Amino acid sequence: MRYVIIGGCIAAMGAVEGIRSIDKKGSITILDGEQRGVYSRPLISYYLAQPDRFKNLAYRSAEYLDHHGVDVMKGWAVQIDRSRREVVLHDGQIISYDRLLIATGAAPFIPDISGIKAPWVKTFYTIADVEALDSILTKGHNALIIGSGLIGMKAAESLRQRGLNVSVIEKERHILPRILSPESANMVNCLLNEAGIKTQCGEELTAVNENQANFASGLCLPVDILVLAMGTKPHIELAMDAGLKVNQGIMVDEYLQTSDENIYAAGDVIETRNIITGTSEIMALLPLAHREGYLAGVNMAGSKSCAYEGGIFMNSLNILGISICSAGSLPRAETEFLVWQEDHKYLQIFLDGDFLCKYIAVNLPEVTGPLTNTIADKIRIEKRLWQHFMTSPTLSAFPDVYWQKLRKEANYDYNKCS
Amino acid sequence: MKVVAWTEYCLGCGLCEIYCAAQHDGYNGNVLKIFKKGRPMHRSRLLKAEQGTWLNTCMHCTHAPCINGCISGAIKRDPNGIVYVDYERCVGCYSCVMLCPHGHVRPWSERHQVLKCDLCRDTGLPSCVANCPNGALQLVD
Amino acid sequence: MAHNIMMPAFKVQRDEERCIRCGVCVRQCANNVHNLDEDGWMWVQDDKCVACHRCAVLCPTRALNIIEYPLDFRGNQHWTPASIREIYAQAQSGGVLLSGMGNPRTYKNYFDHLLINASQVTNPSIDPLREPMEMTTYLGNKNHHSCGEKPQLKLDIPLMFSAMSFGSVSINVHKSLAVAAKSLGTFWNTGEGGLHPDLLDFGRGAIVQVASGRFGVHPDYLDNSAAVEIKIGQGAKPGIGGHLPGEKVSQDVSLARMIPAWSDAISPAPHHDIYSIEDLAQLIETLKVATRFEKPIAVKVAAVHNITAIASGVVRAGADILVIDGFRGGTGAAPMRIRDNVGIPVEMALAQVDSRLRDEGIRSQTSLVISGGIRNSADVMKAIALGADAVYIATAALIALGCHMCQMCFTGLCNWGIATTRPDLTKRLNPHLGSERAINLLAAWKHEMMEMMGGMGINAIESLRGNRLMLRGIGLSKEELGLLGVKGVGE
Repeated sequence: MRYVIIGGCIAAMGAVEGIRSIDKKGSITILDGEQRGVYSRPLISYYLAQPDRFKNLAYRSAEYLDHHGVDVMKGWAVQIDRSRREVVLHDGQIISYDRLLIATGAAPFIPDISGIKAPWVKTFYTIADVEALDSILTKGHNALIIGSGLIGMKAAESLRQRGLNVSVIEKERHILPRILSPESANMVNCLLNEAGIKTQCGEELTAVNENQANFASGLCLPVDILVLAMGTKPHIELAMDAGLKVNQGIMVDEYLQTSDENIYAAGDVIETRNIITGTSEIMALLPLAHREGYLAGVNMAGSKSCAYEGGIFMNSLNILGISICSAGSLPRAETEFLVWQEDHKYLQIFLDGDFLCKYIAVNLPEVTGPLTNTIADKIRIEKRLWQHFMTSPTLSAFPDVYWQKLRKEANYDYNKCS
Repeated sequence: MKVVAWTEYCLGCGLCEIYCAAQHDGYNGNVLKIFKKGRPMHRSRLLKAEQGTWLNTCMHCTHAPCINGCISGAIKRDPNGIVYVDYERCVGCYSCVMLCPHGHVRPWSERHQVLKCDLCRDTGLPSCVANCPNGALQLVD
Repeated sequence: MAHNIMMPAFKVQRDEERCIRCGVCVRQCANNVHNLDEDGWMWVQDDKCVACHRCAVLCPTRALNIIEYPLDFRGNQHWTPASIREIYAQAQSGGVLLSGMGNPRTYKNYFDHLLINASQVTNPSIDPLREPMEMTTYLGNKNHHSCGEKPQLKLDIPLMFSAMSFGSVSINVHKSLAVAAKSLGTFWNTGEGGLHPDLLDFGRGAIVQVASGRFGVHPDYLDNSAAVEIKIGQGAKPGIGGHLPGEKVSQDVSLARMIPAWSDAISPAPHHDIYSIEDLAQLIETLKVATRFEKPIAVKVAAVHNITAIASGVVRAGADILVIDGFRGGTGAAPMRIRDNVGIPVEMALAQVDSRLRDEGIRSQTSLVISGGIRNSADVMKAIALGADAVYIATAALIALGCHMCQMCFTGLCNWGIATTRPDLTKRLNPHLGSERAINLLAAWKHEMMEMMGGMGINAIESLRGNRLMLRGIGLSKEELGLLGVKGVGE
């Protein structure tokens, strides 16, 4: 069997592991569009902050790829010929496949506004972006980050660590709009300001002129470096051209199979079922990418046996020592919630009946593992138990129902000594 | 391999945590030295809930969410199946903390990295198992 | 109440250079001796320390030591510190002094005045590693002339675990000993508190007790057993009953004993249906009938002054096994004065009873089992040579499980999880480790006994029974030698 994977990031690594868990012999070729080898995108902010310390951005080592018998080819695919089962590369080379995985990921969204092509306007997505930023940044200069999502926040952190004056501009009503609630955003905002990152919300970028950025409200800010972090859009062109079923992202069934039975897709490029809301959406998250890649790999190599039930949003980020963890989504706008707050720690949990549907933890990462799992596994825990837990949210206080279930699933009985 | 805690016989004495801390960070089991001179950081935590106490150990899961979710590839599995942290690579994003269903992986805030059980893979029998006074911890396959 | 003038019995010494404030001692002491406040200050309340050593043993840096309180009274050979302190205690409380475990006083210990023989030249010694050594023995009535064969208990080792009731000791002690007995091919004894439902599977390996309180006695209890033992008396407190305080009668205990939870469990001093040997004979017969003559019936009495006549009567009443409990026998709780002053040494009682039963020609109708203060395999050898068929141990077994002989069993606050029913303390004894330690102890003793028997040129434990020529007395008067039926050293 000949496996070809377009893209060389997290989903591709997951796919390699998945394929190899079943098929030890088939050839695996990764078509890596970047010239840097396989690396982990989230590490670029650490690289920018401390280029000397974090030189090695590999998600898996070269030996690891060797060990799994993976052939990494430089070059990007420009066309998929489904009838002949071939991928055409930019240089005209043709690679044939038995099973193809599209893991092309996403690219930063760049708005169509004037001046956006200026040399000091950058995106923050690849090593090349970081190196471009690194070459133009100067301590003490003003950096504007447009967009306060994960990428924007990590860019802000690393630029702040490099000694720039950093402001984050968000067009929504509060920062990290997809992650935080208004209440928690307020607290994080204060912590960020203390740490030296300025924030401004409700401002939409309209134009970029000579060393200044203009906003819809009339606001005009001086700027030396502008980083666009306005979200990403999946690389679906290849799939569209090949005639695969595509919506916002590539559409796949529960086996990660596209509308072509020999072509699978995984990672940031596909639409995934959000198991909390039940909707199909783009969920560009590293743990999901790995899982999707793995399951796609298993299904590609064997009979389609591993169904993917979907995922939940989950994010953990550390900005200048402020830890923010969040997982889940809100099934509707008005969802009941409980809050615990102490000093710089904050925990907000959202309940949908007896089910936890989302949490936001600021500077309280210790309890988030079980919370994430409670959401993902849809474990029913009564509201009164959550109320008890929220009086002092520690692992010890975590509802016993949860631990009991975990023990049962771990396939042994704590109460019986062998 | 993993350490299993039998709540029925856990005394909550806390010796597991103490010996765990002493076994790591180059203290080679010297309890006195790490507590007097070092900064004791135990990997596994003793949880105290209403229904009793137990050591929250790592299950070294077959499909470990911490390994898959680690953004830097710092959490690895060694040939014996032991899941451990490569401190050269850990950047402290706490993704593993957020993903661990057992709540075992925890932040090492001082170093902006994470702490987790490595089954004392450099020294043999896990220190917590070796020093549990009541056989409440067992190393199982 | 006026100021307590009693100073502490023990002093807890903390080596500050070693203490790491880990708090293990604080969490492990059920007597609340150790306290650690938020500022990191330790506060030690010596008054509460019972010297059980739990804290010292678990301290990871060996920072703790416990010594006798060094405050001396002016030297006085008559008014010893202990006697003064006992008066302080009674003057304070106005009550009977209580204590646990066996008689600790310095009465003559006859085991320590007996020496064992060994073969040289004329009769060769035996190497137990190379030659078979029979350690099996049978307990029961061996007088098969009338009514055919009688039920027997087969012991792979002439040692059994003595009666300790559930309630006085924790369920985990029962579990440990039941598992150990099964593995060793011997028996354990439920004591008078019935059988815990968790241990029904181990009933067939148990000698079940019927005592004056009749706790937990029902047909299934008698059926699901190896033998039935009627407890008349106990070496630690002959002539008085027992009293399990209500706070130790947990739900489990109440279930096993068939009494209301949290109520005092009183064992009357006498059996209210036994006021004569004839009454005893009737109970023995009743139990034999109840168990369809399938199980030996044992009778346990304390070693008291006229033990020989009592023993003769008990055997004639039909006891298949006669258990004699000496004055060093342990207990969960006894009035201190009784424990320390009532009864006689079991060695002397055993020698006399064995002789008396032989003289009367009824020795074969019963097996003699002794208990009370057996410390090691040499004590066992000496007891068998003096005439015992087998030996019961209890204190030694508890020590194997972790008991540190602090003698405070009656408080129910045993830090080692032994003499307690408090769940958090009970769990401190893991029966998997406990049974392993009990098995190890007896396996070691068995090995030592085989070595000693080999040295004597004896290859079966039954050949040693009553073989008093294998013993010599040392430092004993002519009269004591005569009563023990052994020769003096050099004779």
